[in-house]
Amino acid sequence: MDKVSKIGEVVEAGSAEFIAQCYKLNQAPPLGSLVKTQDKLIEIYGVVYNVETHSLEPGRRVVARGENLEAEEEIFAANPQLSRLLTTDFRVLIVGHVEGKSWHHYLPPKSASIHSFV
Amino acid sequence: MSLDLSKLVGQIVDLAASLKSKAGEKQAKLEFALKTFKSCAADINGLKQKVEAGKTTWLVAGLKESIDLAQTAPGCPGDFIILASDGSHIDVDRHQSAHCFLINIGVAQLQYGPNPDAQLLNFPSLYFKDGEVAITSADGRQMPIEGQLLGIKRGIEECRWLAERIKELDADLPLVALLDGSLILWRLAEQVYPDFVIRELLIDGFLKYFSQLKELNRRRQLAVASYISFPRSTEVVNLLRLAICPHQQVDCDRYCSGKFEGRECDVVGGLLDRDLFARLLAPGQRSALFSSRSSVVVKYYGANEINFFYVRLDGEVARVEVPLWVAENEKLVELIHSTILDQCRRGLGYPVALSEAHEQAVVNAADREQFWELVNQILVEDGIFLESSAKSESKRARWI
Repeated sequence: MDKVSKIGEVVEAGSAEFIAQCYKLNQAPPLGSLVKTQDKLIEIYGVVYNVETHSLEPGRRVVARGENLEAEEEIFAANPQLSRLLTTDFRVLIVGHVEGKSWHHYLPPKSASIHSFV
Repeated sequence: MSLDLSKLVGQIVDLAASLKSKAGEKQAKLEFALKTFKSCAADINGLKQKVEAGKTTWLVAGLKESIDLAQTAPGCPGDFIILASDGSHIDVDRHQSAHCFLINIGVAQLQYGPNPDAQLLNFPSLYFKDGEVAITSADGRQMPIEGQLLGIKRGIEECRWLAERIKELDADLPLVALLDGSLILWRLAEQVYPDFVIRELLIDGFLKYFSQLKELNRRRQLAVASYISFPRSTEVVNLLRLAICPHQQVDCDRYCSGKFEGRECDVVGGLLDRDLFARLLAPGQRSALFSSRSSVVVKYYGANEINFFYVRLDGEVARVEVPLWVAENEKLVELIHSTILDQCRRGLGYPVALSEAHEQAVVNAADREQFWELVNQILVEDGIFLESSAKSESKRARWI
């Protein structure tokens, strides 16, 4: 997959769906987008059905920081560590796969590989 | 069996009653202490002489400037870097299969201004070689590094990583380097540890890295400080004890040997420095600078002599310690004062760089379990026979 079209990386994978983490905050594909990931033999296609932005650490909650600020961008400028502590993920429902030259509108035999590009 | 809290409720109620009865007493002591503080400020030279000539049981702050100074913070620079380090460790566990310890250092580097940026880093190190897990003297005596000594070593590593990181940074912006906890390794002065341990950890360890920071300060605007939240120090209150003492030549061993209450100076006993400065400082203000007269500082620190001040935040009074070469530079003290206030504002009461460094460093109970499992797994894969104690096996199995 070329660098330009890469939008995320698989961080959890199951038979019927996978979760991908975006490289940049809030830059997930739109809801309902068709996305693909592949390993050597199979291309897996799915539909984005949920997008979440949340804390990277399970126990740490985001708190409101903008009470005395005018614009939202100021929050990130004033707290530069936030971009390292938050992540945007999207969940993909698998709708089909391509094996060789054959298209199949059912689940692939193997789930997506962790760290494969989306 | 988990802790039976129902058996503790009565005892905790007694604790609350005891604190309540002490609260009224404390208020009266504080009012007297504040009056004494005012009269000390009026006769600073007299107090200085008493400090120099006195032999006290407790640690008294060294005087540097008018003690009633309440300095408002200057504005924070527009463009600067805060670098903080914190550490955590996994101690030696004699019930485990391998003799080793782990130190995990977390570093938070936050840049503010037109180019905001953040780097959150962690550096775990495993110590297992013979020369790493014990300190050895020239004549072959050994002191194993574990428990309290491991805590001291960790503090030294926090300082070392700070110095290493600063060397890698461009020198164009003001930089404040923050450590958590005291810069005074007073435990090494308690005559518990032999000289070769003090040499290795303090002289060739902590003070060496501190001197590196002093050198780095020549090349760029660098302020180094440590931050202590909710400090329990009493060095300034002890100055008041000295002032109250009726003997011009104060000598606790001579006049009050064996006494723990009923002395004239006990009228301010039980108060902490933070109690005083919560009343003396307005939010945002810092106190005068004092010097530490701790025996370890006097004997070993030299040009890195530790000075300190208190700063009043919205929620508490914190203690900030700095080396002498920072204390003597008004611009650096102002930089520390203003950036600490700024950090506490961003960090909802605690410097955000220190809390992020802590998050990078923290090793919780689950991490500890996973670490030892990983060690065992690799040893087994390498065909090494694992020994572990029956005690640790019984804790794991928890049979009925």
